[in-house]
Amino acid sequence: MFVDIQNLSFRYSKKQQPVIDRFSFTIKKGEIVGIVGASGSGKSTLLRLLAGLEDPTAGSIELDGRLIVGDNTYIEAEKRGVGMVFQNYALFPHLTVSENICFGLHKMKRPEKKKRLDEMLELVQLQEFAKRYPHELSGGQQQRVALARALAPSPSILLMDEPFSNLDTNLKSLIRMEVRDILQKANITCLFVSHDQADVDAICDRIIYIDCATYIGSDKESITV
Amino acid sequence: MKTSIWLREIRRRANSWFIITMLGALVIIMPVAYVVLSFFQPTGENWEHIKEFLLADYVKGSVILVGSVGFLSTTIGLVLAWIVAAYEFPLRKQFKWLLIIPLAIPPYIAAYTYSTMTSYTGVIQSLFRNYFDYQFTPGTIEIMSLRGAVFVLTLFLYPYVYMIALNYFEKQSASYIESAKTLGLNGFQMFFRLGLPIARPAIIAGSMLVIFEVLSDYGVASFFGVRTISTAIFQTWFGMYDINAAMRLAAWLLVIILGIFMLERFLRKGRKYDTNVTQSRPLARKKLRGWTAWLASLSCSIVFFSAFLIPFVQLIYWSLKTYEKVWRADFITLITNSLVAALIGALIISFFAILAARTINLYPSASSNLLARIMTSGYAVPGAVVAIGVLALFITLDEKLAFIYPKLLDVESGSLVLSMSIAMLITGYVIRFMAQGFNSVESGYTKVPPSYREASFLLGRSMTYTFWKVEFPLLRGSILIGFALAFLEIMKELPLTLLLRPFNFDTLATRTYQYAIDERIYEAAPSSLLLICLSILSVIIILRFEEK
Ligand SMILES: Nc1ncnc2c1ncn2[C@@H]1O[C@H](COP(=O)(O)OP(=O)(O)O)[C@@H](O)[C@H]1O
Ligand SMILES: [Mg+2]
Repeated sequence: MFVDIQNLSFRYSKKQQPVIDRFSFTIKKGEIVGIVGASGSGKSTLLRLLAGLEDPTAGSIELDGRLIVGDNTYIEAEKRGVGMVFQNYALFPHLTVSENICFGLHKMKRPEKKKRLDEMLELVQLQEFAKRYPHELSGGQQQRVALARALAPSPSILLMDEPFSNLDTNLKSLIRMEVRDILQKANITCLFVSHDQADVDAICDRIIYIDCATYIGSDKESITV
Repeated sequence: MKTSIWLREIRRRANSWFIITMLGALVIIMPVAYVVLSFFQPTGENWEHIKEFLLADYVKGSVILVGSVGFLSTTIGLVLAWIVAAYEFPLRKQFKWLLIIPLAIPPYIAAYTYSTMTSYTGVIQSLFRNYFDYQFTPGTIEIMSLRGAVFVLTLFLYPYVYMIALNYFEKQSASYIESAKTLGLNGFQMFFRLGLPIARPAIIAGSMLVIFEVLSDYGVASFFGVRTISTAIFQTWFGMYDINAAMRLAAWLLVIILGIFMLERFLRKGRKYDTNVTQSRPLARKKLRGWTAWLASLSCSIVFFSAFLIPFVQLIYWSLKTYEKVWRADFITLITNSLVAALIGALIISFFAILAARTINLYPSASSNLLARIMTSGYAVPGAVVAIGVLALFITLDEKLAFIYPKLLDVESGSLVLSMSIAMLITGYVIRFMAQGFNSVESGYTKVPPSYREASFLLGRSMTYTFWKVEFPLLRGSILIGFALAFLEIMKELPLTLLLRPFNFDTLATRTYQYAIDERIYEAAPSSLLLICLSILSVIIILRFEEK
C-alpha cells in the first residue's frame, strides 16, 4: 500500500473529545481519493496529521514504504515529501508567482529549477502571470499557483483541503475540470478533502465518508473518472 | 498517552528556538523574583527606621502623584484623541502626529526647563517685569514642588493615553458613532454617552501605562523634592548604602503594583464589548465650522506648544549660549555611550521579542500565554525595582563565580566582574523595556497566519529558513517599530541608568540630570537637546511605519 494509516487517534487538548479515533485506511499509488464529511468532522485534522503538522496521540502512518509516524518515530513535516494545498492557499504575499513556485525547489540547481518552473507554469497555464504578486491574481489563479507550488518539488502525495471553498459558485465547475486535468497530467497520488459531494464526484476515483472522527466507511461509492 | 510518544513530543519541541526563549524568560523573571524573595529576608535597623518614620510619607507622595497625574493625563489624552478622531478642523492631520511628539522629551528635562523658565529670573517673569512692569506675587506661576511634578508629568505622559485612545476611536468605533449620529446626539452627548464608554478598555490600558511611568519616575520627583517610593529607593541605596532596605522598599512597590493590576481586572470585569466589530472603513469625521473649529485647533496648539515647542525652543536658546563651554571631548563619549547602550539594548530586546512572539505563535497554549505575560511584565516594574533586582542578582553571581575569575581573566580573586560591567546595565534595560519590543512583534504576527509557515515546512524548508524568508519579511515593519520604541525608552531612561551604570559611565541622560541637580541648568541644555533630537528620530520612525 502506498499510504497506510493504522489506528490513528488525535485530539487537540486533553479536555476535548478525540477528533480522530482509531482511524485506519489505505491509498494505492496513483489513486485520487476523496474524503467527504460535514464541517467539523476532522477532515482538515486528518490532512494535518498526514502532513506532519500535528502529532497523533496514537497510531502509525506509512508513506511509500517508509514509516513516518510511529510510537518512536516522527518524521518532521519538512522531511516527509508531502505536498499540500491549503484552504486559503497560503501563498506568500511578498513573493511573486515564480518565487512562490520555486520556494520548495532548493535541492535543484539553477537551470534545472528554471526548467521545472516553466513546466509548472505551463501545467497550470499561468505563464503570463509569473511576475505578479498573489494579490494581483483572481481566486482561481491563486489556487492554480498554490497547486503548482505544491507539485513543483514532486511530492509523493498531494493533499488538498477544500480547495474550492473560496471560489465563486459559477466558477467552481470550470475550475474543478481544470484541477482534474492538472492532477491527471501530473499523475500523482492525491488525497482530497471536501464537504461538498460535487467536488469529489468531479475529481476522485474513490470516496470515503467520515463523520465526527469516526470512520463510517470507504468504497461506499466508487467513481472512476 | 504512551511514554514513548510523550518523549517523542518533548524531543520535537525542545529545539534551540524554544530553549533560548525559555532562557530569555528566565532572565526577565529572576531579578523580580529576587526582589519578591526579599520579603523573607531579615532587615536591619535602617528598615525599621524607614518603616516607622518615612514609609507613610513615601506612599502618600506616590499615591497623590499617581492619582493626579493619572487622572489629568488620561483626561487630556482622551479629549485630544476624541477631537482628532471625530472632527475635521484646520491642521487636524498635522496635529494628529504632532501630539505624539512630546514622547520624545524626557519628563525630567521638561521639569528643570519649566521650573527655570517660570522662576523669578526666568524668561516669563522677566518678560512681564521688563515690558509690562508687572510683578507676580511669589509662588503664583512658579512650576515647583508637588504642583510642578504633577504639571510636568501630566504634560509629558498624556501621549500614552492619546495614542491608544486614538487608535481605538479610529478603528473600533465607526459603527457606534455613526449610529449615534442618526439618533441625533450632539457633540458633548456623543463624547460622554458614547466615546467614554466605548473607549473604556483603551482608557484603562492607557492610564495603566501612565501610572507605571509615574511610579517609575525618579527624575521629576527628585528634582521637585516630592517624596515617592522610587526616590526613597535611591536614598536608601545611595544615602544609606543599604541594599536590603532598598530591596524591601522595592518589594512594597511591587505590592502596590499588584494592587493596581487587581483594580484593573476589577474595572474590566463584566464589561466585555464586542471587539470583533473591527471597522476597516475610517470614521466619517464631522466638519467643525466657525469658532468651534478654531477652538479645536487652539486646544491642540496649546497642548503641543506647552508639551513640546516652548521647552524645545527654550532649550535651543540655552544651548546656543552654552554649547561652546559644554562641548568638551567627553561629549562625544556621552553620545556614543547613549547610542551604544540603546542600540545594544534594543537589539537584544528585538531578538528575544521575536523569539518569544514566535514561540507563542507556534505553540499557542496556556503556558505560552504565561510566557507572554512574563516577557511583558517589565513595563510595570519601576526602573529602580528592576535595578535593585538586577544588582542583587549580579552581585550574587559574582560571589558564586569568584573562584573562576582569576583563571579566566586578568583580575585579582574576590573582584567584582559582572556587577561592574555594562552587561548589568543592558540586562536592566532589556528587562524593563522588553514589553515595547514584544508587543509590537506579537501584533505583527497577526499578519502572518500559521499556514504560511506550515506551507514552507511542507515545501521542505527548515524552521530557520522559514523564519528568514517568510516570517521576517512580513514582520519587518513591526520589528522596526518595536526596536525604535525600545531604543526611545532606553535613551530616555534615567533611574535605571543611574543605578546600574558602571563607574564613570555617563550617558546623555545621566549627564543632563547631573547638571540639572547641580543647578547648572543652561549647561544641561545641549545634552538635553541632543537626547531629544535622537528621540524624535525614533518617534518619526515609529510613526512612519505605523502608517502602513
Ligand atoms: N487548533 C484547534 N484547536 C482545538 N480544536 C480544534 C482545532 N482545530 C480544529 N479543532 C476542532 O477539531 C474538530 C475537527 O476540525 P477540522 O479538522 O478542522 O474539521 P473539518 O476540516 O472537517 O471541518 C472540530 O470540532 C474543531 O472544532
Ligand atoms: Mg477543514
